[in-house]
Amino acid sequence: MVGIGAALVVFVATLIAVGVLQWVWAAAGEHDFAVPERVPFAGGAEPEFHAWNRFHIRYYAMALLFLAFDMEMVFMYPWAVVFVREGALALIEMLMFILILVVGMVYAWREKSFEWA
Amino acid sequence: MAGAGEAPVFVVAGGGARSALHQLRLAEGIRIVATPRHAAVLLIVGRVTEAATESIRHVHDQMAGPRVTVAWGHPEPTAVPVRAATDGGVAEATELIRRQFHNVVNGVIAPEPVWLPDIDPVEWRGVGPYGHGGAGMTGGTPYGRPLALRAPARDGLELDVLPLTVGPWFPALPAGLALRVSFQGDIAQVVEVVSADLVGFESPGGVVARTGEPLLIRDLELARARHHLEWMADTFRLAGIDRLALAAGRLAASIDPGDSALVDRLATGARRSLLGPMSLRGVGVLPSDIDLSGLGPIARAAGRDDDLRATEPAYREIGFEPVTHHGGDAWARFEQRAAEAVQAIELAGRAGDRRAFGAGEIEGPDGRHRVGEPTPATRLVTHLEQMLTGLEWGDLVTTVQSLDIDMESVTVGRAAA
Amino acid sequence: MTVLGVVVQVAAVLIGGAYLLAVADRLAGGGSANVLAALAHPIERASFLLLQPVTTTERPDLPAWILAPSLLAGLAAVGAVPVPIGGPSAAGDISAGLVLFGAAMLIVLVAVFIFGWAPNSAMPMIGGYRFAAMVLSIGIPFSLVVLTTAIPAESLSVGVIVESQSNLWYIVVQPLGFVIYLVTAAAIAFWGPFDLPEGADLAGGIAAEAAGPRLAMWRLAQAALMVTLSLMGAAVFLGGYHGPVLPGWGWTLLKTALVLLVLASTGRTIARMRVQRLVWFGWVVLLPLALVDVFVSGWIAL
Repeated sequence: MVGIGAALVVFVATLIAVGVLQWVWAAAGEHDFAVPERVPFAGGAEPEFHAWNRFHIRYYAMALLFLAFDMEMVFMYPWAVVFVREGALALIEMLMFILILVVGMVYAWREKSFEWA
Repeated sequence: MAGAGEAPVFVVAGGGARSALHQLRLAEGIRIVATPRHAAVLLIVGRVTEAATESIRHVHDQMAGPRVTVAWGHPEPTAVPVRAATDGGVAEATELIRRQFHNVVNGVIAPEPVWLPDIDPVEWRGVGPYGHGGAGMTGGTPYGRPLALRAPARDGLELDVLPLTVGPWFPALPAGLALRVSFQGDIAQVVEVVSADLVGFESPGGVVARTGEPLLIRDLELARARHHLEWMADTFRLAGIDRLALAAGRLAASIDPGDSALVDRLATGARRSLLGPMSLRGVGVLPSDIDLSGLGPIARAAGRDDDLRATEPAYREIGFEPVTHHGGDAWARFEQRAAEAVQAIELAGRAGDRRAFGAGEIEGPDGRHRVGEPTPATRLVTHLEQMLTGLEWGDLVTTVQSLDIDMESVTVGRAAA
Repeated sequence: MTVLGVVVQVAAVLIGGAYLLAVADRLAGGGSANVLAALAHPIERASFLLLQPVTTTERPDLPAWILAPSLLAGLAAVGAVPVPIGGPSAAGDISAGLVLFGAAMLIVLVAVFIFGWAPNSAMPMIGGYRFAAMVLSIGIPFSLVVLTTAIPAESLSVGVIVESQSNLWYIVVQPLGFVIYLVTAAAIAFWGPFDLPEGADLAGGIAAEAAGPRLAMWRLAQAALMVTLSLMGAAVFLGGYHGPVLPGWGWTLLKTALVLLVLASTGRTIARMRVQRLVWFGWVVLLPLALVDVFVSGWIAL
């Protein structure tokens, strides 16, 4: 049985291989960085603050919309498989479901959720 | 093997380096990179002032190494310890950069040490190994840098704001321009121009002082076309259209009175690459309270028929009519400059040995230069804070690029005022 | 095929494809018209990067910084597993291969985000958040058009989908789906004109602080991701291994290379999109078009 097991092996093997390669190179070229070499780049001026901060994600409303559509994707995977067997009924049912979601998308568009500056 | 490839170069461009730099971009065997981390060679080209020393040292030390520095076209020695310098043309500079790169990579010359002192700016103030366990939110200030400030956002929430000085050698901004930006997310909530004159100038009076007697229209118009083509190349490069950027750069380097069809073709290429709808249209519209007079292509791209050339008899003889565009956004400015480049080449072809502009004023590629008056770039810089506040970072960069601000001209204008 | 065989096959296809992409990108950028120089270019660049030290910043999140290229490469590799390369013998290996692929491609968001977050530097961080906005906007159209190819095949197995194209490639019945697939695939692989997280305005963006072997690994992983996306595009839209004369694997690789070359050439000829326009484009243009593709293709399949 190859299947999903092979996929798992490929994933883990690549993850480890690339990680180990990076580690080996870093260890081989052991390098002590001076303080000015470690300053983050922003064009030549020294930063006053750490860059990490509670970043204001202004597209949060769009991110919520993504959640709604992503849930719909979960239903669509099995739906796509049985679609031909179920026929026009499946088409109409999914169409209704999606139309409701699209109304949400149009509302978000009208509320300018897709622009933030 | 490693030294055989292209030399990755980070450029610090001072005054008078504009055309030289554009020619260097066309040279084989050199790749100009966006961050010192990707570079092995630091190239200091043109005039930089003493005030720039600190920032050049920072950029130098940020190169990943093995690193080496090359200076090109410096009339006076710089304040940084440069090992190799040339006063020659593009070919000599290319050759020197490639040789130094090859040498440092293959260990022929020793890599340069850091130029700044190797000491922590502020002592470690934490307790644990990661600076944790002291006072404050994370308990320490590693490297003397605190965490971001808090400030109300414009939508009424109290959120983190990250003040950061971007520049003066940030590759997407004009060389020498430093902006202190308070980022809230990717929005520039507050923008401040950090005004230190880092870029030196060739003549204290700028373009006007160099023109004692009337100029040959042919030379002036070809220089205008070259200026606009170089600006177009930079715009293409910022938008990631490398092929067009190279074509524009090549055309600028060999501009000739028969080339107007080639510029037209370049503008068509820009339209095909969807430059307008993808990145420029609707960006960088100027606030209505800015006085546009004398701002040259920027004013004309907003529909203002403002051009000193219209008052010159010699220009009227060869059938000059100002071109204008509507919209006043970055795309209108692109169309405007493309059209002006075509027009300039055609005027140069018709000009013969006619002369114009002898009386202490001139319509330069960036607008009106007049003795005793601030240059267009100086005026634009004073409006930058108002224009850039509240923009998303990418739009901010596009806006600055569309204004075509040359920091050398800003320094000259400040000195004149 | 044994598990080891799968590992070797995926590695060979991804690394070979990555090299092809690097050469094609070099030629597309106009930096050199000389094919021989372009062939040597990726090797010269890689040998310089491997010679550099691995840079660091003042207080990076080092485990995350090491993990990001590994995760991106892992996701690219796992996405390529479900695609049958040589012929129907491998078909049906993973019964829900399309789901595995779709999931892996959306988790790319995590790898790219942490690569931008880890160095503790402003420009890479903005690049990471920008990529989040991008993937949230084009992720749904991407999944929809991939899924639509499962409708006529009545299976989520990529092997079955390819096998069902023996008479008619799905690009013929779903041309709109193929175009949307190309656009969204370029965005997921942050390839031009959608290379916003490392755009010129961010001075390299997520990769601005990375140098040396770390940058080399990151570039390799990104190229591998492009190959995986092209491989899947060739399988579900262009009939995979189906074709006359050549052996099955020959057709798969030829079609993959074709998709790869199309993506490489558009990457440097179309202007980079503004992030807010891309978000608008994903929701208001691509999503409705993808839905039209789903329902029209469904109607045809009935």
